[in-house]
Amino acid sequence: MKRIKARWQHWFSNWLDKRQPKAREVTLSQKIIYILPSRFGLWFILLLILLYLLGTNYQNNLILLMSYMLVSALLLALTLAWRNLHNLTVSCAPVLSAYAEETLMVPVSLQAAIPRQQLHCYFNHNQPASVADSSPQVMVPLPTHHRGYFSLPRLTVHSYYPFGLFNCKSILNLDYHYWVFPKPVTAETLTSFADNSGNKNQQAEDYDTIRSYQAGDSLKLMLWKRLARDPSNPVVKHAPSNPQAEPDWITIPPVSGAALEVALSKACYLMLQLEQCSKPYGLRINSKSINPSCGQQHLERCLRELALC
Amino acid sequence: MLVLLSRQAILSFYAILVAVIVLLHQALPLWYSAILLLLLLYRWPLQQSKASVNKLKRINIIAALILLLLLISIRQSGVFHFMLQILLLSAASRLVLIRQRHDSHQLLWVLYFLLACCFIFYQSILISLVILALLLFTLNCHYQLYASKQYRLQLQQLVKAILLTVPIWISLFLLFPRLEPLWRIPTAEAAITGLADSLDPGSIENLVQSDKLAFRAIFSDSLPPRQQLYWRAKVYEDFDGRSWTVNQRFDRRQAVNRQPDSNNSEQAVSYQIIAEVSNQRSLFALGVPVQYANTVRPAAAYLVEARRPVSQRLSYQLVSELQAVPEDVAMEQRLNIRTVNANPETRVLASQLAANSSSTAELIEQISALFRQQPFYYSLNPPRLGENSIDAFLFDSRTGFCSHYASATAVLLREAGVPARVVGGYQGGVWHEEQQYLEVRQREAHAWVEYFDNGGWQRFDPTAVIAPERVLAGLDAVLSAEEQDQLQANWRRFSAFNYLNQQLLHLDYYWSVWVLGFDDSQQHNLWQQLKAASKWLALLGTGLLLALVMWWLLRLQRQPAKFAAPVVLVQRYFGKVLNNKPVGQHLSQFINQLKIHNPAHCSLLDTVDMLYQRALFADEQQALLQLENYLKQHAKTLTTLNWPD
Repeated sequence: MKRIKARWQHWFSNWLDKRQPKAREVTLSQKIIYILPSRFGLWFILLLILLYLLGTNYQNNLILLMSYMLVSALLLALTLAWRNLHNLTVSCAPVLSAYAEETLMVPVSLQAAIPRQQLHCYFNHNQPASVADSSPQVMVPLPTHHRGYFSLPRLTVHSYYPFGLFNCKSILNLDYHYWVFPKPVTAETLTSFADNSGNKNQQAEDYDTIRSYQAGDSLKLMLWKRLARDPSNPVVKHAPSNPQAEPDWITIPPVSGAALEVALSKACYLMLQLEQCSKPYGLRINSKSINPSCGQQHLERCLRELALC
Repeated sequence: MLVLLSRQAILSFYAILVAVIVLLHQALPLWYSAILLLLLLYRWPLQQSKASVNKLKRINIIAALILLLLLISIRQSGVFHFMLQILLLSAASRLVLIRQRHDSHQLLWVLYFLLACCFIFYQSILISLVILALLLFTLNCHYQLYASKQYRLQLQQLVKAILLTVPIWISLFLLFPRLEPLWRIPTAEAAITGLADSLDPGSIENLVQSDKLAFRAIFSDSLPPRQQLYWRAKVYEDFDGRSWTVNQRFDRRQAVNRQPDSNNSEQAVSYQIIAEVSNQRSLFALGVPVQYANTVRPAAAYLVEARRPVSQRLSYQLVSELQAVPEDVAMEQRLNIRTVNANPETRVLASQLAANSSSTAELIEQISALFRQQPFYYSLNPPRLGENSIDAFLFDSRTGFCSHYASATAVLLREAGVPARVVGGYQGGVWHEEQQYLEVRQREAHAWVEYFDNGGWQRFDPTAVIAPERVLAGLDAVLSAEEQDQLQANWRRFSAFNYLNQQLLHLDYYWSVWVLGFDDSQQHNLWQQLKAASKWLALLGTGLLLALVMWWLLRLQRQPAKFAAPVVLVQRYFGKVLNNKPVGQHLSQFINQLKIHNPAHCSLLDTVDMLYQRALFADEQQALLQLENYLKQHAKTLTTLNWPD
């Protein structure tokens, strides 16, 4: 049974790929819009048949008229459902990343010349769908499990508009990738360091140790409360960087399996801590090494290394 | 997905359900309607309750109890009404607990079904329109459930949708094949109207007081003369000394086999009848019907009956020969010569008359002479008659309505040894020249006599002897002014109301003919006509198809537009002023110059420029839409822009 299901899914995904090759931006056309009756739609069709039988049995033209009217409403619903999705352009934001076991919110943009109604988007059946009600952007949740570099799964855009009788959907293969970094786990082995950083954090609360925001500063250092009060003048926590500070080297031991995962998680946590205090740090994985540095870009680079390790 | 229903949606469902309960009140006992309304009140004031699980249990128990009550009373209500009652119960209990959009599916389903069932009880144009309006309202509620809250239904879209659906709707109605009734429909007991199965002296007077429509007739050719318009509905053959009743032989369920024998077709009249609801089987026909539509069947004594009691308007086609009704079964004569031991004076008179006459025709002539020469009166309010009603009428009161005269004549004939019976039906009708139909109301109810002579049942109408205007001009011509007043309802005396009422009746007539009366034979005709015109239709179809293809090709050609959409828009709305723009100049620069010449419209031009840039260079769809709307709004202002020569 399982094998049949897997084969069916394989065949189905191939079939979908044939109809819609991977692309960064997809405009929904007739070829990739699928309209299926919903459960309510099937009941509605049964209602139509019953009304037809009732009308012929009673030889009552008014009941027949009503059943034909509902038939034409059904056909109208079909065309409206199709029109609601047709010519919709779907794309994503380019760089996506999240920590493992977090839910990645993927910003999906739905561009259309005429406003659309009640579009639902989801990556996964089990995930609640996000509703884009006439807004061109919608955040679609995507749960992550393991670290790594993945291509975006198929995005389903569907709608029950206008009568809930038809489920008009399109299953899109968008050519995007996303990073899943290791899940940060507190590293207890470096207690002294943790204490140290704690002190610094306390200091960071004081107003002595803030400075105005400069381009490239990590957003994690932003004083959000202060920003709300005075939006024109953003400030960041300033850890007085001692120029003579020794660069920290984060080294991943040559282990594998669960031990490796734990090491990566701890390294991730450490990295984030160091980044917060603007302390330069380097990364050594097996033979590879990244020279000590600081800043958002460096952090990103290191995290990607961890994700792919 | 969990979508809660808005308060407005729930209230709309309440309104629809209450309206349906009111419309279906014929199918519901009064106590049941009251219980349903109370059940609906349970959820007042429409709060979204948190303890819905608790409530579900409670509602289930209440519904089960009501169901038990319904089951107890199933004998009174019949199966069909029972089904309606259960559907209403399920709708009401669903509505009481409804919270999510998902819950409304069952409710909508049941509401649609119940609305259709309303048409079984009502077919008049006014109430049909009310039900149609309710249906449209339900559809609207259904639509709102799945539409975005921000968007109001726009008139333009609505018109487009209607234009799209109405042709499909109508052509389905006209062309979709119809089935024969699949099963016998359980009918509930309902009050019968029209002529009853027994004819007392006085029953027709009561019927005549009613202004209700009995049926309408449409003739294929010209209207037969009024003296021929005797619509036979019932034949009364059993007499108990006071009242006449229909013989048991009319009760047979099986159809009477009758070969069509149209030997003298020049006498044949073809007509269509639209009978109103009477809840009886008996229908109306002229003379001897020879061809029947399949909705009706022949009954004994050359009557016509419906296949089941007429519980909704019924339309049927007949061809009749206007001649004496032949003998139906051998026992018919024997059946109609039976006399009872009552009315001794009448018996004596009959034997005298019989002795004085040599033939049946002479006997009839004598009876006519009796009515004509003796002081007999025609009246809507005859005095009450005793046990020997015929004696009392012929020798005492001498005042009566058509049933008195018919009854007395039939008894006289029987006592004289001539088989005779009383026929109940309608006589005449109001002819509407413009609409070309005959309107027959209950007040045209009439009774006359058929006696057996020359191998057939000859018609003899004693009323025509005593009051010939009754036959030639209708009831009003015979009655005194007081009696006419008695017949007219108060409001009918105002001519404006009368006129309005008449127009409504005509509308109702067209409604019956075109909508209610449309049946498979007419559908068949339509198909035949379509087949005959298939060449033209094919031509028209290919023409349309070609036009469509051409239009599509043109659109395809136009698609790779010369200019981007924002440029086209600006060109369209700016018009002539744009001719002053040098070829190489950018629009922003041009707009800056325009601003100098038109300082009053600075902000407007700025907005256009900003939207234009966003739409053209940032490729924003939203901006393009805004630009279009903005330009549309200010189209007039844009044409007044100045440019120095």
